[in-house]
Amino acid sequence: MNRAQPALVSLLVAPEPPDELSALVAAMRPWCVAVADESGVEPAAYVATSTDALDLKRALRSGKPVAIWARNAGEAARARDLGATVVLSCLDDTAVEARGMRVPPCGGIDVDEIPAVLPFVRARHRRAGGLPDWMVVDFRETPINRELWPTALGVCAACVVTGELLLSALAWGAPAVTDAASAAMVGARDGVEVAVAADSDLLETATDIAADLARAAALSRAGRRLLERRYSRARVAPMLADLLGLQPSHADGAYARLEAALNRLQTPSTSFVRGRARRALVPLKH
Amino acid sequence: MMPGIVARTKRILVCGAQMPFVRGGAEMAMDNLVAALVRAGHEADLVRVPVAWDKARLLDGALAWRLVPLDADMVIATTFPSYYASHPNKVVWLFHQHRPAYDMAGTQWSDIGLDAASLETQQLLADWDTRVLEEASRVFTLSRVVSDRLMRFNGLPSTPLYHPPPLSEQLHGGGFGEYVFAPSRFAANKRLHLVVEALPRMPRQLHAVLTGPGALEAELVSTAKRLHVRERLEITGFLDDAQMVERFAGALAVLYLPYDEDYGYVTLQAFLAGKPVITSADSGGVLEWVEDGINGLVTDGTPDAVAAAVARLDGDRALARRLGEAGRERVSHLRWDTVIDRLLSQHMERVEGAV
Repeated sequence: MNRAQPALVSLLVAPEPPDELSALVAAMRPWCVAVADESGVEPAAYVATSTDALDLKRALRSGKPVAIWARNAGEAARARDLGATVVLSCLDDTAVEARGMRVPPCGGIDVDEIPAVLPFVRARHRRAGGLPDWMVVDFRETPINRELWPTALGVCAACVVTGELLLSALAWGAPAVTDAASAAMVGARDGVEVAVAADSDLLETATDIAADLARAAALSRAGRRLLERRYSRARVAPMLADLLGLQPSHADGAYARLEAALNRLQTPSTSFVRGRARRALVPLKH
Repeated sequence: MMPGIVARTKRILVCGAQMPFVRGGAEMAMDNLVAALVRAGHEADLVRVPVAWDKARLLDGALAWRLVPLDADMVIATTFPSYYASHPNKVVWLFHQHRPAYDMAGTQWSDIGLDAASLETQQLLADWDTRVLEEASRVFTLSRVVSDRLMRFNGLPSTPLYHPPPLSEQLHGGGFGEYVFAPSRFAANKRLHLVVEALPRMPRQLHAVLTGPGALEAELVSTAKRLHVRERLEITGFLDDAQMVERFAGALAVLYLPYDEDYGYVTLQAFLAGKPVITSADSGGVLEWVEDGINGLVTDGTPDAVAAAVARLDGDRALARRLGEAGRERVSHLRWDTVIDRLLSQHMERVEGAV
């Protein structure tokens, strides 16, 4: 019996393909194999790294879905005019335009590999580690060794954090108190994804949040989602696969579908559940 | 049916967990929900997937639900992990999450401790729960208690949606007899040992009627013997509907003292029978219904306090009757058609918009 092959996506490459697109295509592995040379096999879809990519016009005439990368608003408009199925870009306003999809930028935070830790789980970690129950960390001036900052972000009841470190805090699901400038930098709203306070009130606000589990949980959840919308490839990859009409590879059948389900749940690659899923399906592989 | 809404028949799947060989309030609620949907003119069916509660296998069922094909107009998910179902029109009516991983973690009712495996399971479960519940177009819960937990633990808002208990059409009032009724399964969190321990302190002509079943029966009988009240403790075992209705009707009061209950059918059934409820201050969802001195008595949960409450009603049957009548009034609004209207309301609005 011939096993079904994974969907083929043809990469139409122009000079200097963007790293962001390469990373996104890599994240679409459960759905497809991306190749630059079709070798005579008709692809299920096309991804072009630019509106100037070689063979783009042929791809657009093929009737297959075509995603086109745009570096700026002008290229995005051109891609739409050309008839792209979806326009990919790191531009913040890409998603609100027709057929647009914002792609997480590279060099930012790898939110897909950071576990989201809700406040009540944080409390359990603190108890397990013999840490103070009301552990509020002010990262503006803390004696904690920088190497331990991720741990502190993962277990604190609330934190005071400004600047780029706010991204890490939100990725960990840490209830974060910050200043207006830092909130604006990441696009976070006061009372929704973060709590914004004046400099003199930051620590007190964080202490209040630490004592209010419902408020802390709401901030934790919303803050993490903000980071995922901006930086998660695991979130964007299945959306792009849907738009391009790609299904999880049948060649690897059951496990591919399970892996896709795990990816949609933002399950870290090292999670024990992935191991359980693989072991459960071992008897089915041949 | 809400006025002005034109509803077409929908194909609806009610999703729930299946704990093999166990049938309790959640199972009855699922069956009654399906029946109510059918009475409302829809096609409805129940989909259940077996589940295991030990932490090693806890997430297997959740992951399985992600792949279950659900060909219907909408799904209504109830107990963990059925709300992991994938469907474009998913409404959650949350009966309960996996409480051993949440508020009961670290207690005698949980295998979730402070070891690394427990913490990883807890973190992943809480994160997954939050994500899949966010997928729902609406999130309702069984009670304010469940909504409060969902907000505290997952940061998610939700709306309590109350429903009638089983036997709501049959329950009726009656005399205030010489027994107190405690119709719960013999599970640890139902704390029936409090009833048995209070029995020696209750007026001597009264006896306690427990139903069960459950693994703790031998322990309860042993306690009754030790306290020299075995002859005043009646354990009926399984009662059919008619027998249950008559036991409610003839009771002086209903004792319901669970620990942090989600909803509590026993409370509502007692009220429908016009009986006061004696409960405990830490009984959770029961306290959304029982108000001390209004329709029942709220104690501190000690055997002495429970016995004193029983004695008070025994000595003042008029009070028992007044409390019971107030209880009946308290639950008189509970109707299944209201529940169906709320669960389907967003979908019905879509249909109206399409017309």
